[in-house]
Amino acid sequence: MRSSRVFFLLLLLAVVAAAWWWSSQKKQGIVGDTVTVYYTKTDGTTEVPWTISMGPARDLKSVVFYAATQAVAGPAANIDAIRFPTGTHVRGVNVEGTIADVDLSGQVKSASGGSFGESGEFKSLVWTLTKIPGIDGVRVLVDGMRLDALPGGHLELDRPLKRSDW
Amino acid sequence: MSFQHIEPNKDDFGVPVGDPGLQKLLSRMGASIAWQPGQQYVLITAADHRVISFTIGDPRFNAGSVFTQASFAPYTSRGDVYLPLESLARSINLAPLNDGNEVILQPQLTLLDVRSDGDKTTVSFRGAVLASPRVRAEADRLVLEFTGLGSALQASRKLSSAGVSEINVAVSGTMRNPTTTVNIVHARNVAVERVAGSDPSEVQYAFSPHGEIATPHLPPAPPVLVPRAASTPQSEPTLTPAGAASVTAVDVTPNGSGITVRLAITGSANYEWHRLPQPDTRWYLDIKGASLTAAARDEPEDTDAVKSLRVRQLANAPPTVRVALTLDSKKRVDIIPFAGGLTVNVPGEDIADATRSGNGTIGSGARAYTPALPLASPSGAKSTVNIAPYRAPNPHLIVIDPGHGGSDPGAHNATTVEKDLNLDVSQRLRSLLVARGWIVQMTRTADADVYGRNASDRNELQARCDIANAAGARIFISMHTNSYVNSSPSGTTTYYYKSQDLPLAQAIHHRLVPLLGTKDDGVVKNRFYVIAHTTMPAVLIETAFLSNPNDAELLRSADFLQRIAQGVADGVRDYAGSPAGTLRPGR
Repeated sequence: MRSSRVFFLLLLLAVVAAAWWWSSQKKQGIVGDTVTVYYTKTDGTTEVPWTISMGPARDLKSVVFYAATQAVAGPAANIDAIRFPTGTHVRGVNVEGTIADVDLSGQVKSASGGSFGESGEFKSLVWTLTKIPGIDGVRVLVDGMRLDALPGGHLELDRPLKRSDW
Repeated sequence: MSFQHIEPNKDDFGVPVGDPGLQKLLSRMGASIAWQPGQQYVLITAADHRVISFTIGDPRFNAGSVFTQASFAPYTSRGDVYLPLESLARSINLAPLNDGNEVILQPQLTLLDVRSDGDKTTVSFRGAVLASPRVRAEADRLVLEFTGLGSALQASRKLSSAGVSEINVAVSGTMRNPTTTVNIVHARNVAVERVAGSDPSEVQYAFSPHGEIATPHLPPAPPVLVPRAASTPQSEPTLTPAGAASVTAVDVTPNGSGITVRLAITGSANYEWHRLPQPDTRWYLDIKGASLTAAARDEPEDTDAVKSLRVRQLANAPPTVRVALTLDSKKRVDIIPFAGGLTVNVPGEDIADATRSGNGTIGSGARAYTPALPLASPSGAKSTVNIAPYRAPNPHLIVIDPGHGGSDPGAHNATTVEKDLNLDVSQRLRSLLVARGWIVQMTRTADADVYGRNASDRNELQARCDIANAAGARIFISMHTNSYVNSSPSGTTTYYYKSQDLPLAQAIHHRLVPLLGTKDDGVVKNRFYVIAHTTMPAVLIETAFLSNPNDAELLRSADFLQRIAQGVADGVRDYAGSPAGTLRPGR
């Protein structure tokens, strides 16, 4: 009799623990099969959302990594969009509070020199990441290093970029 | 090429993300791979912009939103993630082929697509790598040899497309050095041309039986609401009586959490806007003396910030076009006039203390801008934007910043370097402003760095801001020339960042674009360093695109450069009057 009580108690504890775990995962608000990514049209200003599928993600950092990589890759090749310089990709991400750190590969420095591409590229990245619940700013790193501006660039990067910057 | 840490797993091989062989393979395919400890995903960006994602512990992988079963689930071992190599290879169009001793990953020609469009047939190819085939044209066939690519495409297909009757595919060579030959049989009177498709990763050929190849389809240009004829500015702005204006187009674009409404307006009109109290989520704009020739609109908006938008004709006297927004909460609403109309922009940003109303004038020949400081309107309303008062310590001083310089050339094309153009235009602008009584200080007067040679980007940009801030200038103007990786974008953009920059930016842009005859790319907010770190009203002007053939031709003309200077100087006059005349001490 006593052993069956212990068994049921343990079973109850297991159910409660499972429910807590499930609830804690849901609380992050990021469990889902899709993520919204934006690209900047070649008018230089208009953001276009599109939805992509992703594998099951249970932590914010993984979702940020996935979304940032897709934003930097851009939409399908037949879509006219402002794109990061060829070869640019996300090396890694970090999340501190509501700020996402995005570490870009060095190819991002090989832009054409005009503000048009630079603005459109980063606008799509910021729009994408700040669409994720819990993220409201994006700090840019290149090859693991913080920087204040791109070489010959125009955007101020020494503070996190936010949607309201555009 | 070989792998250092590969290990057999089921019918595949496990290869760690950090394996130099894998890195080299992906690099050769124009792809990149990223993973960091703690991450669930290993992400590969392919050359065709697809993201291929593997999830640790999940045997499915996702290639461009298509889920496929892999040989095994990625797993962690010795601090690295092991991926199923053959599944990965297939996702980037490499075919694993076994020659008995080893597995060879052979790049594939993966797509052969035939489209018939009336009298024309287009044949498209796509491969694992961007293929540039060797071409042999004969009277009745086109032979394409894709060296280095194998193929599992259908060997032969008969067609009844215009001009093309048969396509044969044959693979020759070895597993290591394959060649795929495509033989396209066509009628003898067919014209053949390689065309640029909308997808740059494709190779396309067009076949036209009547010997005329239509222009290849290109993506549509960004919408232009109103064709704008080049006009000559008047020496002084004049007010045109309202009454003959028409709202000819209403273009609504989502901009993230809000919307941007572009109203194309012909003629001139006065407008006023109001934010209603309790609840202050209702906002409307009345364009007085205007008729709505575009379709009326009454639709819910599916954005976080805007719940509905109505555009309709009111039968008031004078007739009025009303644009009404229902906002989710007290959101910022910007009104930005441009040469052909008015933009209402709701960026989705909450504001604590919203101005209740404002007014202005829009249209050709109209004075569309209020002075830098808020003015009281007859109704007591403030001007169209919230402007933090700025009192320049040196109210007669304008600082001009010729962008880039010295070790930073900026953009360039075959004949021109941006830093030189910026300096040329800035010197012309200085002359005009000095002639009008302004004191002008340049951040540079030669091809030189401002902070110092090869300084950090921040130091260089901050040095330009420091000059204006230390001098207590009234206005800061940074002159630039735009560029992009392709020749498509063109036009003139005036950037602002701080709210106090906006009236100056509008005034300059309104003068500049009609005078230049360039495409109007608008007055655009952006956190560019030099306008974010200057304390006075500041703008950054991108006059035209060095990368666009038409703009580049204009930029070679001294007359065009002079017109840039003229347009900016006229905009400064609209904004601030003249130092000897309208300025009061302390402004």
